[in-house]
Amino acid sequence: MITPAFFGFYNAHRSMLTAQAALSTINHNISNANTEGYSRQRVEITAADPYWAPNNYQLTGGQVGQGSVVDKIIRARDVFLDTQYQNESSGLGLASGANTILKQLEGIIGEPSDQGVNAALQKFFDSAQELSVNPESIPVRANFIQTATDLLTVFQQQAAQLYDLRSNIAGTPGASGTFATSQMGLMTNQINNKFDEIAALNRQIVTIKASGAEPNDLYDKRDQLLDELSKLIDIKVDRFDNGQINVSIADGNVLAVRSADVLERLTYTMNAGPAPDPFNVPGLLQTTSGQTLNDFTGNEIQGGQMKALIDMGQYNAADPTKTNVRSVLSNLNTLFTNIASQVNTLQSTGRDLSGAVNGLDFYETGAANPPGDPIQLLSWQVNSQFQDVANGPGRLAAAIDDPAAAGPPAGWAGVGDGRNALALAQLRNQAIAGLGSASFVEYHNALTSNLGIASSTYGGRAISQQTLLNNLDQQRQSVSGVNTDEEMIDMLRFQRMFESSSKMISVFDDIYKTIINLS
Amino acid sequence: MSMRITNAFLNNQSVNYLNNNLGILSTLQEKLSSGKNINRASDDPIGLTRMLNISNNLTTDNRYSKNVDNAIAEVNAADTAVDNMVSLVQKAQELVTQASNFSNNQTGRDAIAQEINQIIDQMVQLGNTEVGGRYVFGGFKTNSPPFTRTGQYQVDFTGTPTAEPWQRQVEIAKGVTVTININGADLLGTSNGTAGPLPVTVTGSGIFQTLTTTLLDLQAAGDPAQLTEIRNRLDDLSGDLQTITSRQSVIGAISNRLSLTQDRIEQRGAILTQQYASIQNIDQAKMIADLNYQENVFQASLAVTGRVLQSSLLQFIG
Repeated sequence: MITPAFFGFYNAHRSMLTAQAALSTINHNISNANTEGYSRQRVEITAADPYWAPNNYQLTGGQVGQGSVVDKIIRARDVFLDTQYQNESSGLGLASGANTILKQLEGIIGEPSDQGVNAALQKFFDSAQELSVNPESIPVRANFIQTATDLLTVFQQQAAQLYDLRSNIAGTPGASGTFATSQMGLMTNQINNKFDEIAALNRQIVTIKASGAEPNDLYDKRDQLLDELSKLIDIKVDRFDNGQINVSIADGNVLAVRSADVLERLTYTMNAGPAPDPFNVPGLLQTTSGQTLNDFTGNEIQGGQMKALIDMGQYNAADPTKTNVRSVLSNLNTLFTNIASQVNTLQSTGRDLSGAVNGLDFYETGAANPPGDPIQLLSWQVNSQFQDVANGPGRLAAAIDDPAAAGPPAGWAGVGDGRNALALAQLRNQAIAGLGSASFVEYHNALTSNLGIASSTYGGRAISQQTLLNNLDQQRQSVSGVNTDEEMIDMLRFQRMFESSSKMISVFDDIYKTIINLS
Repeated sequence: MSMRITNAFLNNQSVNYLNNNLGILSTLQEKLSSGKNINRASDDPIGLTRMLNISNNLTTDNRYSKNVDNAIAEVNAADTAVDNMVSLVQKAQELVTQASNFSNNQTGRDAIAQEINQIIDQMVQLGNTEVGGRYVFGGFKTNSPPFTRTGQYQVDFTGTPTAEPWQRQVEIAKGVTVTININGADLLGTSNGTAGPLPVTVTGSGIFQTLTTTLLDLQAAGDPAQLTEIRNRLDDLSGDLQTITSRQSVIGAISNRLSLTQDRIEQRGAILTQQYASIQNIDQAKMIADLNYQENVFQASLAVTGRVLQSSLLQFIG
């Protein structure tokens, strides 16, 4: 034998090491078969450099192979699919986030039901009719006051729920403590944490990669973070050969992470005004360098759940047609303000049970609530003159002020005159100029149906976006996912390789034994 | 190259399918349990608008129906009262005819005068007919009796005079109102007179003026014009009877219109209820068929999931 002594041992040993490395990787793959974001890893095996023995070519017949070595362990991943996945993930975050809030809005408006504004309006007009037929009756008058009070209560309950919902999403204007705990505030922290984690991973990856190894599991972790981040906010990822990535947000306008540094963090704090109006935009979402990302000036965040919060929790005065918490509140406010004004006009000009024009408004505004807000639905109350159980009912002006009536007092036709109450009841079908010539009920129906349309649109979009995302995920899984059967076949393959190599050792052992015993 | 299928892929897909099927089942469950197609606005925004419109129309009609019921009760009471008034006038006619035939029998005339006196009282009572505490002939002044008799010869009307607005109106359809009362002053009139030589002057109008004049005529014992005057009253009475019966036909017309309205509301209500049901009520048979089908689909997907996820190479290698 011209090849060095024990050549066969080393050769078989290398083969066993290769098989072991492959089995370890298979082990790793199987262990992570159900790990979110894990990419299957593969051992790239190459033949070892051949033994260089030029003097002995005649004897060996050429170069002798030295077995196999592990070249590197790589992960199976298609980064192009990742980019697509992350784009669509932002779309899903937006659609499903908006849909969740719209469902809550639908719950607050609560149509169709017997407890909503529509039912309260019906009861109100019903009792006005009853009053027009029985204007002398104190119980009927008291009942009218009750239903008119209930009507206001329903509006105010819904308004209070809307304010709560908005506070929960975007904070309460003027209340600086509410911003950190709002959904937008919490999401801002989540996003910043992800920036930090990505930057830290960048640092590790660049270092390891420089030493020639592939930090596969760190790549996976970082890709997983990008998936999660893309659900929250729209991102643009730039990848570099040294393994680093840069992350930009807000349609690529803000470079947030550059390699190991977080250049821009997000803050969410109270908007002190004057522009944008704090009642429309309660808080400001800003970058470290002071760029505002939610003020409707064109630098907005474009996708993800954060965009859903911006769209639903804020109000763009330039685009009032969009359905969101504030627009629903604003519509309810417009509706009630018009109801109050029509009812007050009739009530204050008619004649009460004593025949007097008492000039009292039925609904009046109290202390501004919330202070400074142009929407003042919560500040309305029923005039205390009507809340007086003993004398309130008599103060209702069911009769009209009729110059042809002699009274006494002049202008009053008598207790049986329910014509003012009839006018009140007939407001039901009246086109109201302040409501775009819709009646009260029509205006509210339009509000409800617009909300329903927005909700079903976003719901449908969320479903189709989810389907798209599932498809992309399946494609990714097809490339990166672990198939345990496949791994088991490989396991058998490398087990056999290991066994055969061990057999080689015993064969060479026998050979060497034989050679040694020759002497 | 065919697509590589992985275990996680199969798992995810199974979970997605199971979720989808469960989602459909949950929608069916919601509809079947509530019995409603539309449980929130987004279920069918356009259908909801139609449904709300119909339900608004139904509640409005329900209200109109109550208005009509109330009005019918009142109009019927007025009708009965006017009926009795007609009988009273006819009785007065008989009495006056009788009195005009007595020659110089003042005792008989006195007796008849007594009866006329009572008729005036009864007429005042009828004029003060009330329904549920409301005086129906008083115009808008519904809380006090419109007719008061002072002494023998004076009947005053304190309801709303005909010169002022007195028509009490009730809405019976969108924008349609109907007057449900007639004016007491127009129906019965008033009177104010004093005893004296015939012919006496009694101010006022209508049946009360005639009855008071009749009373004075009957009581004017020994007056040479007594019999002539009494006979003149017969003409007056038939004029008054005409006035009252013509007002009675007004009441009859109102009553008819109200009954017709009631019928119309009921018919429309039936149609609207049907339309409402066609939007909001679920088709139970179809829904249950759907439910059975979906149940099968769900069970099939469970079975498939169980089978597919179980098979592994592990079962075949030792």
